[in-house]
Amino acid sequence: MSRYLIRRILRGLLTIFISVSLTFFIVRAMPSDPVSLMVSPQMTPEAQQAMIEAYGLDQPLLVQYGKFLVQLFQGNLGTSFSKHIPVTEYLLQRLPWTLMLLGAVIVLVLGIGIPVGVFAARHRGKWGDRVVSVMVTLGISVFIPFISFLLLYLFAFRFKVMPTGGAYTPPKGEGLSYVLDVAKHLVLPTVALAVTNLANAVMYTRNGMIDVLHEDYIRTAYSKGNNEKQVILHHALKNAMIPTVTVIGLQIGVMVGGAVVTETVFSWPGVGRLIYDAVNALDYPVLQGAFLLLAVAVVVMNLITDLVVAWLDPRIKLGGK
Amino acid sequence: MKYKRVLSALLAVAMGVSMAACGGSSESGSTSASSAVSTSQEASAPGVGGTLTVGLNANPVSSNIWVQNDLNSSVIMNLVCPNLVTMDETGNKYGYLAEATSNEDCTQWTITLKDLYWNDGTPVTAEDVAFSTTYGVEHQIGFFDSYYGHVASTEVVDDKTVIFNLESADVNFFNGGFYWIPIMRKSEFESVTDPLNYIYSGAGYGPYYVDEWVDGQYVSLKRNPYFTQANDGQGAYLDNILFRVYTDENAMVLALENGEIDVCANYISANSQTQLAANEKYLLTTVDGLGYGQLSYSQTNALLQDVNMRQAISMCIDREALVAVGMNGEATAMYTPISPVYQDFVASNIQQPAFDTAAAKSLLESNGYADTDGDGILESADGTKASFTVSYKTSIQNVDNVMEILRTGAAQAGIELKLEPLDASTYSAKVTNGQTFDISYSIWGTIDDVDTTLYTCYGIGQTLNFMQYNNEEMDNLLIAMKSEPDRAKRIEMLDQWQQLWVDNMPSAMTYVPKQTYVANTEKFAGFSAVLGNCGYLNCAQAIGIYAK
Repeated sequence: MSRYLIRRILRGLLTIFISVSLTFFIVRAMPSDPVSLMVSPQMTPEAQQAMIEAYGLDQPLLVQYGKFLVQLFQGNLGTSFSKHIPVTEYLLQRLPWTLMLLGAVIVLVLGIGIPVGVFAARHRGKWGDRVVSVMVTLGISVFIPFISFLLLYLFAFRFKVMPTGGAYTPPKGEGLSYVLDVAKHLVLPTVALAVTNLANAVMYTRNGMIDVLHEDYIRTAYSKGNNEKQVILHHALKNAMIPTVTVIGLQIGVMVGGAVVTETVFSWPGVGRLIYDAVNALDYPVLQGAFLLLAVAVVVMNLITDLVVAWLDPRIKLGGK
Repeated sequence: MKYKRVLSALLAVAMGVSMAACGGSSESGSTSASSAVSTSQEASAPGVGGTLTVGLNANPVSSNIWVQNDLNSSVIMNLVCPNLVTMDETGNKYGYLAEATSNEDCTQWTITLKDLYWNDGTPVTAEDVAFSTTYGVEHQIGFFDSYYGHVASTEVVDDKTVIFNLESADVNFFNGGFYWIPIMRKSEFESVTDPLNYIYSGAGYGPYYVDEWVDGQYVSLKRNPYFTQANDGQGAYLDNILFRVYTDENAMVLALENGEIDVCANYISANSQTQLAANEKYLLTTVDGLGYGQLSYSQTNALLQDVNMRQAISMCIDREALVAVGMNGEATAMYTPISPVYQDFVASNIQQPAFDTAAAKSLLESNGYADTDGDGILESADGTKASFTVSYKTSIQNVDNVMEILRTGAAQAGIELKLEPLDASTYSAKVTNGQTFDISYSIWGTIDDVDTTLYTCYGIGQTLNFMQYNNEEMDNLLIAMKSEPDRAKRIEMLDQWQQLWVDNMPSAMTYVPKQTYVANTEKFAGFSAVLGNCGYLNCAQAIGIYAK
């Protein structure tokens, strides 16, 4: 187990290293630089040169890369070109909002997706299962900006029961009223972001459960006198959850990097909107920091997913032995 | 089958609702295009009080406006640290918070501040003004060197008066830097060694100061009680202005409609205007932008070195179609070489070649061009086809329609325009930096002080002369204008330059994009907008907004 963990962590670190290196070169392969976006008739060539030097862009690419790696090993992600604050600080300002959105999505996905998936599997081929299947198909194929604007139009504009954007109504309140205000702002982006993930959770749980319900040990459980509820909860669900956990685990990793579209439409101040702003401003350090965060999240979630799957199914031996 | 029908109906309803939400309303309605305050704004006598909530379409980056020039930060900070110079509705600049005089040859400028106070009650002094210019140049901040790099010395005469001695004549010294760069507070910045990474306190000498700046969410401004340059000494009417960020325009318009915000800081699209125009509580004001569309002919292309070819292409520009069809009426046709926004400079009405594709073709044919292979494209005497690539940014409003109109017009004259849409970065690399293009199409952001700024665009070897145009006669006129103190004489010289420009057509102008701003007048009145990028929130106008 410990050898497996060490091996996985080392492989994860290698993945992160390759990812941040690729990010470093890809953002610089873009055919322009931040300074050229700021050029205006009023700026002298000397001022432009000063700006290039201030951003460290006058150095050869490999020198920039070397400096970047040294800083990275020191835990320094550099300074934002546009905001002029340390990238780590910038990311840490935004990360809690993304984690909050992510947490709400996970609660929604697990709280609704698994019971609905089990329900559909138990009623396979019947009316309830068909409705669920249609909803799953819609959920998987829906275009997120479409559902986002639909939600905004209905609940923010037509019924006026939800706010249009932001994380809370300024100025920032205190106590319970603040918590409730944030919760209210959280609803629409959570629903918009959860739709696809929820559909996936339902689909994988349903299909997993259908497979498991045909296993011999389930028949054995019934023959021992267990009722349907006991069989599903104590014998079937754990095994049926393996594909669901795998898929959700990977999705969570990606979502930490930011739900760019959702956060942009709902003006949610998370990492996704930070990436959107950073792309527009060609803010290399912020982009590098955000993609590092994404790489770490994916690697960590992969590891956690493997551990959870191994816990769910003891037949799976970590390390393949 | 029954399920499918129900599902189809639900989908149709959902799509319809969503289209409406996305601004694609089919409701017809004309957009108000007036700079006057509408009747819906009329209300009881204005008084102090109220919080105006404003929507921004992007995250304002920083209150350190001296090093950061994003539009939304500028909109906010123009209320906190306004520029001493502003612009009126005819495109003329005037001293808003200071007055200036110069000596005869414009090498010495005396600037006198009006009564201005920081929000803690301490006065803004001539020391602050002098400090700002020297500090910015010393620390190589943004545009400081362009505007103040030629300042030889400054003399603080008294608390409100400062004299700038220049190394060379500059007729637009006051109108230039003081229109773009606000005053820095000496007591705050004199100890700052790294202004690039400095977080500004938010102190203001304008009608407001920064109370709270929460990145990515909102900015709260409070009324500066010591600001007296408005409303007969009362200062601004509004107690607070709250800026909220909506990164999607459709979401911002919905926020306006459901009352979350009272006004949009940024101009809105034609679709959004249509959506709002039918409701009279929304005041829509349209102003011309300070930039314009321009086709630039690269002198690295042999055919484009031929003035006849440049003239011919310029005769293929159907400006009426560009405005009416290409821009859905959201632009003003530009027939003069200089934007019609600057009324004094286009009074001579020197015009670009008129739209006439037949005449364009005749011009080329009479100068040796012919379609020898019958493909509809003319060839020069050496067999080179009159075929050019037009590079342009995809981010330009309605650019596909505009390009198609240009391409069609040129085709009628036997000139092939191959369209090359590029993202902003690639465009910069290819056109402004790389200068490896045939023809480029761009929308200038702001070209002000045209009598001196044009040199940057057309002067030999100048930064923005990326078409590499080289005409000494025109160059000499531009250089002479920079040191001619008499404005009437400068206008005369500019007329000469415009005539030379029309004769040579180094580039061609298309239209001035319009900018339409919107405000909800249910709770607030006093909205008006002038030229510039701040819409209703330009400081000199925003101080007139009050709660009903």
